[in-house]
Amino acid sequence: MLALVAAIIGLVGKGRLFDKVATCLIGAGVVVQTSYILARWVEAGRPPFSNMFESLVLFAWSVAAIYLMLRIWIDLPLIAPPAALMSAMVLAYASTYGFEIQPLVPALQSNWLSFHVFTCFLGYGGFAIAFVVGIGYLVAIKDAVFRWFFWAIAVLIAISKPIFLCITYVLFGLNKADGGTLAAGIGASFNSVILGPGVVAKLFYGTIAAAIMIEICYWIVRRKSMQRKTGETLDLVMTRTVSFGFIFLTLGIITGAVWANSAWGSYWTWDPKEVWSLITWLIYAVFLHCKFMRGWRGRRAAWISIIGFVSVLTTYVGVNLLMDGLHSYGSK
Amino acid sequence: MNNTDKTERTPFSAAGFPLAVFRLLGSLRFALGVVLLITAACVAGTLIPQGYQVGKFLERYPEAQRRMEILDTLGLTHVFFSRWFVVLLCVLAASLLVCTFRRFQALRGAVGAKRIRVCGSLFTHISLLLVLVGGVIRAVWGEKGYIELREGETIDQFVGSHGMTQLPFAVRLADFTLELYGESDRKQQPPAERLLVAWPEKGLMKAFPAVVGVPYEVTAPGGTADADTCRVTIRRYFPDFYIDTVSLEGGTRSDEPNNPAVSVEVIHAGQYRTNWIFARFPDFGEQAGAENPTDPLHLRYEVGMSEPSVGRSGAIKAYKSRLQILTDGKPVCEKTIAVNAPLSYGGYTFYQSGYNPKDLKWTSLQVVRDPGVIIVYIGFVLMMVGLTLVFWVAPMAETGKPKDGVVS
Repeated sequence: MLALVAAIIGLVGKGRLFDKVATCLIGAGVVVQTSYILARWVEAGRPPFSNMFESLVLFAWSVAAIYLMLRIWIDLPLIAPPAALMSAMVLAYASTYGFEIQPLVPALQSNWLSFHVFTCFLGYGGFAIAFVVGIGYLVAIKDAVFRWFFWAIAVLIAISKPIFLCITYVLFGLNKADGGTLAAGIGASFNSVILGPGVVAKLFYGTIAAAIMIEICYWIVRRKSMQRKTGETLDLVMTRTVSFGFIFLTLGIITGAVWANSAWGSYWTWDPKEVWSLITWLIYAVFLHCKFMRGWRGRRAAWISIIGFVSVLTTYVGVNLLMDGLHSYGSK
Repeated sequence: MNNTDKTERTPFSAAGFPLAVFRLLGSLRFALGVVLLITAACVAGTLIPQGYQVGKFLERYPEAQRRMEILDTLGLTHVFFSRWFVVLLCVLAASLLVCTFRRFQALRGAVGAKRIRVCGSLFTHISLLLVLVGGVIRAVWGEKGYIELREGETIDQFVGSHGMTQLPFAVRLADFTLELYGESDRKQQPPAERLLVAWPEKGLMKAFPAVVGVPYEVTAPGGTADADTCRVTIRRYFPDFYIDTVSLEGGTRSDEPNNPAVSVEVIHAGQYRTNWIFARFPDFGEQAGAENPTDPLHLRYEVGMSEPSVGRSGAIKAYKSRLQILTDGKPVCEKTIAVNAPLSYGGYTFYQSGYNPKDLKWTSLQVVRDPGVIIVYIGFVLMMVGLTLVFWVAPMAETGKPKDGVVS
């Protein structure tokens, strides 16, 4: 959070001092997190990658670490605030999970656990940075569609439960209405989104918060126009981080398949987690093909990197929360 | 060029049609379209109940029977095994084949970094084809089934994906063991979970270990009447409590202590009540029972969060089967298998699948024969080599440092 504040000050103000402070703070955070992960590894006697809390910590670490690697390669203060914010938000979400060290279930007792999870999260980290760079690009060019995107998502989430209710009523003939009427059920589901403690309510308010932050970003850049060189740099960073993420996601899927074959006798079972990782892989494969073979740049590339990261979140969190499958033991 | 030549080259002519198909399959737009269709099918396959999940879904929502039948007819309840999905994969394979051929052609004229990039792209596309071929081999010639054995039993066949399959050897379960995480796996520290009982009227506060089913009596000092004694018993424990919005019953989402809750029975002066107490929301239980004038006690459930503990007594650590392979009645191979440690013999692999907690002399094994897996693994290796060439080696070869590039 300190890094986030410093990075925002560095971005808004003049001089490079606060940007350097922000990067140093993120670096310090990575060192502390690395120490924590290693200490937990020693304490547990096994890699700390087996439940939601541990994987979220790893995810936050990978986002921050990849950001640092990026800053060594390229000077781009614009990505410091969103990278710091994302890492902080992931850690905040991790804190909602129990952090007691649990023994590994038999299915997870394998050396493949480390390789599979670590490579997957390096991939997710790369995609996360591409996501924030994509957002940064759209904000820098003051893209009007993107400005209203999160507000639209928030509205969509608010009406998601009522819409889901209607769809299940039409498609499956289900009537989950309270008090026996669909209208009452729609009202109750809408209330549960706005007032309830559930996941959908958290998503709703999280999206509202993101929309407000985007508005603040637009306000910050309102009088500035992005230089062509900055746009090219952002585009280049997006491409390289997606490429990085794609390689590691591929390796993660492959190691997962090999592990699954040694554990369950099948390298691919169309498990929801596997399918969504394939969906994510296909989306980024489309991105890379359009990038390298059709020369897609700028706005289009930014949008695909955002859509791809939504798929990453669905693969990582959505599947655990909403779907049953062989990966369910890693859900919490 | 005369008109006859033009006619011969149109897509609707005998000579032009294969060429048109070839160009279509090799078109990036077409390939990406197929990929997006497959992506959409995959999304549908995860959102709509599939396979055995349909039965579970209908048990819960019997009124959805008719609509599920419609979805079943459309192949949407078994997306990944439906004919149209297989056709999509075949079209993708055909497109990959044409793209691979084109890259092979492009390889001949490429030099330097461009040659490396094209080579990497070629490897990547071939690897995808190999994975698909391996999958086909598994589907057609592979076998998969289950074996259930009790200690001392021998079996030489199993019911597989192609019916009853005879093994070329026999398998005996010599021994089955179940290992639990015991006290030796647990760090020495005070119990992490406890029930705090406060009786403000009597100025009492006591803490008890939070053990399900064990009653604890709280008696006011010097008290002898029933009104001076409360009996507190934890009846149920849910590590990750939630309320089912349909049945309105409490349950647990998982074994992880994300929202620990206990159901506590309190008996006082002939009155009986039950409360849910939440470790992470201590005030919630208070608010729920605050206005009940018969409640003398304030209860709080605490879960130790400050120090991590390793191991929880009673959790399954491992379950293992000692298997013997017999030919002509004589053991030729013996191995103790566990999850992640299968036994491979004679082209068959035996995986530790399950056990019966009520009968610890029984084991369930999964038997698999997959002649295509080696092709899939070669595909995996080729994929990583290809991606490394495209995204790392080729850019490095161009300027000596990472740079964006274009594949022609």
